[in-house]
Amino acid sequence: MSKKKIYIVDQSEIIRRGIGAILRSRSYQYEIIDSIDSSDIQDCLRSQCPAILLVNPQGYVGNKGERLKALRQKAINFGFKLVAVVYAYFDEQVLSLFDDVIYINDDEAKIFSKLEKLTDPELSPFVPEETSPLSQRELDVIRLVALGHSNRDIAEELFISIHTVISHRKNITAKLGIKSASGLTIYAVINKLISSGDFDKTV
Amino acid sequence: MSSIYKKSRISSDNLKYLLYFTEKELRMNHTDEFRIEGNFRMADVINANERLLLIIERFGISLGFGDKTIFEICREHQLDPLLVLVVMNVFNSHSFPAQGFLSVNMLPGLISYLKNGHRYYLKEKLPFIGELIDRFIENTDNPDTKLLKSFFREYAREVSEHMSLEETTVFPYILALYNYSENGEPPSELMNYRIDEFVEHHSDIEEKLDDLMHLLIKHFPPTKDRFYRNMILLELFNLQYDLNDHSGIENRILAPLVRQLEEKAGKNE
Repeated sequence: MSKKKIYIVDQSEIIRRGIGAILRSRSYQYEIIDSIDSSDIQDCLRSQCPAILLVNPQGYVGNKGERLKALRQKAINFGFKLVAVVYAYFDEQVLSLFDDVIYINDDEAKIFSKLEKLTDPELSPFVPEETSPLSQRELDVIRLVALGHSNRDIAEELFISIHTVISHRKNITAKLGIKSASGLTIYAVINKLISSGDFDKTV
Repeated sequence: MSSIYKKSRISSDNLKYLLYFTEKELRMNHTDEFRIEGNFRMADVINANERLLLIIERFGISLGFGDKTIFEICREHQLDPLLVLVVMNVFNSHSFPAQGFLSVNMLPGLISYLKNGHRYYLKEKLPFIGELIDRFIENTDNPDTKLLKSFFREYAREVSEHMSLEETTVFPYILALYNYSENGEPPSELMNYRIDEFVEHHSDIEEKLDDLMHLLIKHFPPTKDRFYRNMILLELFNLQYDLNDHSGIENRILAPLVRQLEEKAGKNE
């Protein structure tokens, strides 16, 4: 299962790193990216949408609340949850635009229960990544794995880096539930990516 | 049973362990977790959770025990009742006892239990699944199913290699260490070994099992035979569950006890 991305935006390094440390204590679930202000988050939102954006509302209260409304709209468009990190007084109206609020005196359990509620697939329209079909590149990788090629060979053959091969293999495993090379070989034969004659050669 | 079981006796540590099992709530439904105690009748316990059949088999207890309690049966078979209860409870409810409740005196009995488990996997369970795969191939007209057989053979070989490593290296090491701590018998050349190497080694034989299950569930197209395909899967689920608890016992009961001995032998200085 892929990790859920969480962005933390706050002026204070103590807050950013503190929340990050708490979340990383269960790092198998979350990937955490933090930033001092929202400007460099903009690009990330498009390319790598987070599951949750944790922000200090302070940075968004200006301009008669327009900035906050714009952020709210973004959350709807990109499909992430918006959570306020609050350690000063904010008007209830401001906080009502967030999906949830984390207070400075929340303990670890409370923070996690809030985040888990927001990322619960039952309650969220998110489609898990791994249910999408295999890409052409991934099919190429499976075929070469099935023919007995090493990751290094595959990288050369497809003109990609070995890291890319490894990341393709991770995605393949997530999608198919098959990790071993011989398991992938069987998958390749069943799906006619290679012939069973090829299989006999590799075993 | 072998004489090594005679060694176990109730120490104060073990008494603490008895107290750990005092809340008495035996319900006849194993979806509700209950803690097994020594004064329960074995027949009731087996009726409540049929998975425990595998466990008593590995302790060398045969069926046909009438109304005898676990304590009585252990006495008859010269088994350490505390060890039997620990293992039964792990399999019954995945509840592992706290470190303080375990005693190094359990090690010889535990190793004997684990060896019997290995024999069961290698001589009984895996060959049986292999036969089911043969029947499946015979009864279906898809030649690709033959690939499953070679895949399974590869898997069975890996399991067998892993288990024989334990039997030829790890277990003798533990027993040497145990004898050293009990009788001061000079340790063998195996003493350079460390149990943590074994825990690291204790890796992905589960991976292939998982792959095989996914292939059967998701990827093989519908086959003419459904009976054997289902039977294979049921057996694989069962095996996976069983192996999981088996390695849980090795990693969370065996390994910590061995670490105690290693510390005592001054190996961690």
